[in-house]
Amino acid sequence: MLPTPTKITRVEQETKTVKTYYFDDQSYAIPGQFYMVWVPGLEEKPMSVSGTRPLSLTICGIGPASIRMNEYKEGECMFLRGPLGKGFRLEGKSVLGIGGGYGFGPVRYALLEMQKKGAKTKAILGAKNKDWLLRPAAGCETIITTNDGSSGKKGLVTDALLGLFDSGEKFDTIFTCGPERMMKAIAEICKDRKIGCQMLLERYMKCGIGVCGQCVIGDRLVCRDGPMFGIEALSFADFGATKLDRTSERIPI
Amino acid sequence: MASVLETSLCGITLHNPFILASGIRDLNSALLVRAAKEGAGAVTSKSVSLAPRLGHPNPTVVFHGGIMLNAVGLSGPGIDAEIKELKAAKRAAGVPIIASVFAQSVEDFYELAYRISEAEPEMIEVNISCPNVANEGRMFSACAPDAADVTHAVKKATSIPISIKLSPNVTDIAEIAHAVEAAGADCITAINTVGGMFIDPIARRPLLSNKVGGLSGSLIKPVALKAVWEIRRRGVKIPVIGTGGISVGKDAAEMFCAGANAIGVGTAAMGRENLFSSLCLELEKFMSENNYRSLKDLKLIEDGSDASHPY
Ligand SMILES: Cc1cc2nc3c(=O)[nH]c(=O)nc-3n(C[C@H](O)[C@H](O)[C@H](O)COP(=O)(O)OP(=O)(O)OC[C@H]3O[C@@H](n4cnc5c(N)ncnc54)[C@H](O)[C@@H]3O)c2cc1C
Ligand code: FES
Repeated sequence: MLPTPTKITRVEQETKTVKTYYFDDQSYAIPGQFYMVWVPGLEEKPMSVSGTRPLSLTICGIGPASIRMNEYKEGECMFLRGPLGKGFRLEGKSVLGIGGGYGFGPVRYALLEMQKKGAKTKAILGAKNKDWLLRPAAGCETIITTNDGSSGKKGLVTDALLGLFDSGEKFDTIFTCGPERMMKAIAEICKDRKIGCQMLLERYMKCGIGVCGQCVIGDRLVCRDGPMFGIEALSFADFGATKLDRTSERIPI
Repeated sequence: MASVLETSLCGITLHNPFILASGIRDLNSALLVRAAKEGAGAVTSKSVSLAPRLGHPNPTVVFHGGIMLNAVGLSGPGIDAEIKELKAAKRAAGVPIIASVFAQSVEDFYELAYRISEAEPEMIEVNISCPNVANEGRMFSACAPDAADVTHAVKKATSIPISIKLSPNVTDIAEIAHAVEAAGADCITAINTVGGMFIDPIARRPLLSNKVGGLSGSLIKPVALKAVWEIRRRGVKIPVIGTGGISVGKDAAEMFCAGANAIGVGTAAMGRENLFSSLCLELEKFMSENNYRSLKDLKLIEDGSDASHPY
């Protein structure tokens, strides 16, 4: 699979730093799968699918490559290679999506797919502050939390999650993506309550296709065995603790 | 009873001849142990240098139409971290560990081989497909005297068996194989990737950030078979780990016929689940269907034709 120039049909500014790009591409990708986005002459980086038909990617500009990507305009082409990896298993009658920051992009897509399947959906959308909140999923009751209380409830997504359980809500599956410690806390809660938990993990990626080993967590490869992992990720000693940097030196999360 | 696939390489027993090649899914102990659990006969670590290296920016690997092209740039954590990983892999893998090293000077090769021996790998593989800074960046693998110099230095540094990994990007690979054998190499790994590039005519840029890289995958199998065959034809006696484009059991049978003693598997490891146990089953089945009782039966029938004619 080679990077394919794909025309941008629309750009949606979601927050100050996050844009959603819609492409002239009708192929299907499972929520949780990702594309490698090549900026010729600069870099190629992984970005999760945030919608299909048309395909969309939700890009947060935080460093050289992603800031450059967010300068692309409607009508221009991005070079895309994908879809890659293993996405969410879209099962369950009553599901909850929890997203932290730009991690809500693929979770929102999963919720919309679940609605199409007739499932009951609910969402918790968390961010540092109101400037980092993505657009909620249409037709899905959403609890917003911010660390500073600038929008929604002040606190963490896990506070809201425990609140839902206290009020007697039941879910068969939780889909989540966001900071790793947040996902680990959610996985632990799900484990205690015997609820399915599907997380999208991130590791520094190079090849994106299971060759270089760079994206290892435990003895699994995020690009190939994941990015979706279930509760079994709790058995990886490095989950929520350490990761490999670009030289493959182990550093704290 | 030992399996028909059991084999011996430089005195090391392998329960099967399939060795995870360097650079593929092998950058830490967890991945080496995983390949061993999935049935590899031995596992090779990613080539390590003395100091940590960032490697090239992306794109570093692309796969298209059965060919993989890569220039990861030998990123790695450096020797200190690597020794810890290899020790951990040794404790848990249960199969021989081959430690791969690379350097840009003969002195650094010596030091690396000396230091990595502390981890007690069963074998050290010496990746000489890298530029020699003392020689205007010419690859060590590109000429016999340079390859021999590295071999001498590494042999002096360690008592662990060494395998020199040869590049196919040379005029005469057998000449280099002879030189490293004469310099004391215990084994040869042949071949490393075949030089190549992909260009995107819309971006008008090479696809890899490094512009050029190494090809691997099933399309390079004929190149690897010829290299191993040529090395044998020209009388090199030390064992050869035949590597390049092996993806099913029958490919391995072909590689044994060319003269290999064990089989390196790289690119295929990305494509097939449980690759190593599948390769073993396939090779065993192939052998029993064709009444080969031992790996030694897999050799070419000599009918005297001369191979030196032009194509
Ligand atoms: C499976 C997966 C899906 C992702 N999906 C999205 C998404 O939908 N939207 C989005 O905005 N971001 C996503 N990311 C993160 C995105 O890849 C990084 O933000 C981007 O690579 C940053 O590159 P940079 O040059 O802009 O910044 P840098 O300054 O180089 O890095 C900024 C941060 O991004 C991380 N990062 C850098 N390079 C990589 C890499 N090659 N692989 C993984 N992480 C890297 C760094 O560790 C650092 O934390 C995803 C990452 C992964 C692994
Ligand atoms: S990024 Fe190379 S194996 Fe996952």
